[in-house]
Amino acid sequence: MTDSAAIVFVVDDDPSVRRSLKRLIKSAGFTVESFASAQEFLERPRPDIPGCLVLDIHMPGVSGLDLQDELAAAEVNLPIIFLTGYGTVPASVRAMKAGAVDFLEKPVDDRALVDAIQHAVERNRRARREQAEIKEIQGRVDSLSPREREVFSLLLTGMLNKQIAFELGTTEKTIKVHRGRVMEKMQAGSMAELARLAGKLGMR
Amino acid sequence: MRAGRIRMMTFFVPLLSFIVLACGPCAGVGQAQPRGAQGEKNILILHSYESNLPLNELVDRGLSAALESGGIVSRSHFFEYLDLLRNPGAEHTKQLVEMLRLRYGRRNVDLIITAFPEALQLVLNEGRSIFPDVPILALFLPPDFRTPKTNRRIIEHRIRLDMAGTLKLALKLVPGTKSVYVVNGVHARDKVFENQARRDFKEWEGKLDFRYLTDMSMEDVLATVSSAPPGTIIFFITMFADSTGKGYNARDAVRRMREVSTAPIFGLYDTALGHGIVGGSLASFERIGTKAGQLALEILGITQGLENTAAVLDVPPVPMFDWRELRHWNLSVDALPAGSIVVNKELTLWDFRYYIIGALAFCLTETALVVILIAQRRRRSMAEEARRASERQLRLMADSLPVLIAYIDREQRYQFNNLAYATWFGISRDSLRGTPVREVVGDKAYESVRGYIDRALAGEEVQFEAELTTRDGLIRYVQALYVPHVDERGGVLGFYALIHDITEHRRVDLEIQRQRDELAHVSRVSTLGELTASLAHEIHQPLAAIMSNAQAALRFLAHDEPDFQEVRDILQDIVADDKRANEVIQRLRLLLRRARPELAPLALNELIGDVLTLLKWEVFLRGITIEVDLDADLPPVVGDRVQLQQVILNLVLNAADAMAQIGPESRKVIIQTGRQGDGEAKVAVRDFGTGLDRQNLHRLFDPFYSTKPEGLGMGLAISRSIVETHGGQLWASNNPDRGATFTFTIRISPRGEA
Repeated sequence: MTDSAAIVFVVDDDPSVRRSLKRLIKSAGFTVESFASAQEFLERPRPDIPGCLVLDIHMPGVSGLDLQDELAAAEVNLPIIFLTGYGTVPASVRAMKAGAVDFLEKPVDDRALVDAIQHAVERNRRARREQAEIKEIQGRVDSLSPREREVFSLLLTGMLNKQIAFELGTTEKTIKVHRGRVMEKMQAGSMAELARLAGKLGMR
Repeated sequence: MRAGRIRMMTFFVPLLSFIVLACGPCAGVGQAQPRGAQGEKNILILHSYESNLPLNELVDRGLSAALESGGIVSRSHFFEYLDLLRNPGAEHTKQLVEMLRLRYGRRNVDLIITAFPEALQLVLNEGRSIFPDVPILALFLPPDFRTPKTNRRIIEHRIRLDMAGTLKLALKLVPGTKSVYVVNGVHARDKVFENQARRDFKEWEGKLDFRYLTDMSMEDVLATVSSAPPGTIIFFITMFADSTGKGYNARDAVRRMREVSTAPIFGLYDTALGHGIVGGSLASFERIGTKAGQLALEILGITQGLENTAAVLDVPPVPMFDWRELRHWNLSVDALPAGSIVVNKELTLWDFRYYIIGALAFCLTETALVVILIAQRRRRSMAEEARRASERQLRLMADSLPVLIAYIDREQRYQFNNLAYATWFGISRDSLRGTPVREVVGDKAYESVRGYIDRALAGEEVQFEAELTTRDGLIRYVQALYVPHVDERGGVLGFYALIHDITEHRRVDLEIQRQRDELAHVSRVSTLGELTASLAHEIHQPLAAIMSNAQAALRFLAHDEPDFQEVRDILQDIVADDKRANEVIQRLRLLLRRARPELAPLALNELIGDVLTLLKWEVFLRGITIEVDLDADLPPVVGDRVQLQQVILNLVLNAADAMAQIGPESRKVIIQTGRQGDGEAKVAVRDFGTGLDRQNLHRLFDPFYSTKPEGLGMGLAISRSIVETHGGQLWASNNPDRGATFTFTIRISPRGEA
């Protein structure tokens, strides 16, 4: 259940609460880094490993919600577990809409927090994996020549070689060669496989 | 309210001191006498008349004092009272001479002093063989007496009655005099003086109507003087015998007249002074005695006169007056000639007049008008009726005042008291004169005030409030002022006591205070009620930390190799957080409890810190930044911790409310502390809101005045009430740029330490 390959960031302005959260998360086997404010968190470099952010929703200066917005703008994919105080329902709704993973009310139950963290880390791990795959597929796409990319796009629309040749003003034979190269570069064994890879990139 | 009464009381202090100074008895100035060489000199003093004649006492006193000052001890003063007026027969004289021979025949008498002519005659005739050539100082010889020719040295003193002088003084004192009743006896000796009077009064004939009450019985004289019309004065000369042959000494005659007379009585010698005469240009028997004694010392060669020893003794009359009589007849002291001797300057109701008028000024405004009217009447000097009316009115007023007034002498006995005083102590008698204080006030109450009495009698002016247990066991609160009555030489003769029963005031004060505290409490609870969410957060935070820490500890302990250092740190944090939560709860409990305010030295800055701790979350939720600018050297102030916190709380929330409508970036409250003048600290709470509406500025501190829809409108009213109860002030003003500042002041603790 421990996951030392992941990191949990804690941001809470109350030093005592911050310390207690850090200990609790650490006791569950996670690596923890804590910050007194959103600014501090944004200013420090973060290791590029799976993780999540445990964030007090109300803090002086840059609030938890503000931080959420900033991270989204910077395309930092880090699941956020919000800790809420008393009477903070409206803020919670807003955070939820912005894609928060979880909400836990203080005082938090240790099992709930650890579960939430594990869930978030797992999700992050998956997301990171997904992202890496997409990046790799994108790399394959990038290796295609302009002509091959044209052929790849038309193949995805379900056209036959003859139709593609007509469309591109060339012979069916030439298209056949291009198609073979596309399949090779994209490491696809079948048309279905190629379609799946394209789907991952959001191409349709 | 209470402060107001104390100020009122202090107003009397200078006034009373003034009265004390003005009324202090005139003290005679003692004269140092030269002390000559002393041989064993014997002086024989022969009084013609009976020993209990009032003048004897005065003459003897003066004589003895003077002789003793010259070293002639009292053992060598021989006084004989020959009683010749009541015993005119030859047989008595014969026996008397034998007695004198027996007593003085073998004694060496150096000087004989005779009083009145009978004794002189006896020495020169029947007694010649006993005292052949002893010099004689012959006192009180009538103006018409012819001293027999003899070789013996006789120094004469003539009775000199200054009738013209006395009449002049009388007319000055009683300006409206139209007629003079001259009272005189029918004895031959009386007649001599009547003749003098008729001669001396010639000057005023035509201007004044002289009526000689001479050939009359004492009863007729009394009847006449009892119906003397206004504008009359009584002029008493002597009354060795009235028309019925009955003899009177001057003192008794004057006393009887004074009892019934409707007009002031003037006299000619000091034996009657203090017994009913106003005064006059008086022959002073004591002074004559003194002068005779001094002359005797010269005759005996003990002291040296400035010139040759006088052949006659002449003692000029002295203007002397009786204070009580002057007051009784309402005669102006201003008319007395310089150097007048005034006797009997004892306290009378009159001495309390300023006291009474002063007391009236704050007790009964209407009655003050009466006092003014009376004062005006008095000024017009309508002698008789006005005087009596004012005396009566003053007594009435003193008695109707709700203030207890008394004069207590050095022996702690009452000399004067008003009706309220006696009634208050449950005594039915009007006058407590002569009664000891302890007996009147009861043992318990006496013990409570004993210390103050001692201080007043030591010359200190004492003002105090005390809780007295009356004789019937009731507890009363009084406010008292004791003003010592000090004579010119600094001796304390007694003290004035002005006592005010403040039990009811106090009860009302306490009730008002109780309700004010109650209201403050209700308001406090309601304010904190509005802050419930924020305050819960303040308790919630440490509880959350405790929870996480405890769970973390459990998890650490479940590890294969538990990290005990970590667990130890956790437990320490848990303890600290528990304390923190507890402190918040304590602070809240303090503010929520209903307790009587207690004044104590408080550190103002710390107090502000406490309030801000409670408000931290609230302020955060409202998006407000708080800045503090505290004077670190501020000495402690005096106040009730809870109520002052309430004021600060109200002002900060008020400032926060004022900024609800403006952008969050501008929401700022600045709290500033500092000194205000010498004895005060001040706290200013500044906001950057929309400022105060000028039109409603005056209503700002009114109860139930609120600009906020949800506000009860009690916060500022209660804050001001609290600050004012603490002796400070709370005010509001608009800032020059934007927003408003609420400032309050509070007294700095005189003792220092908080």
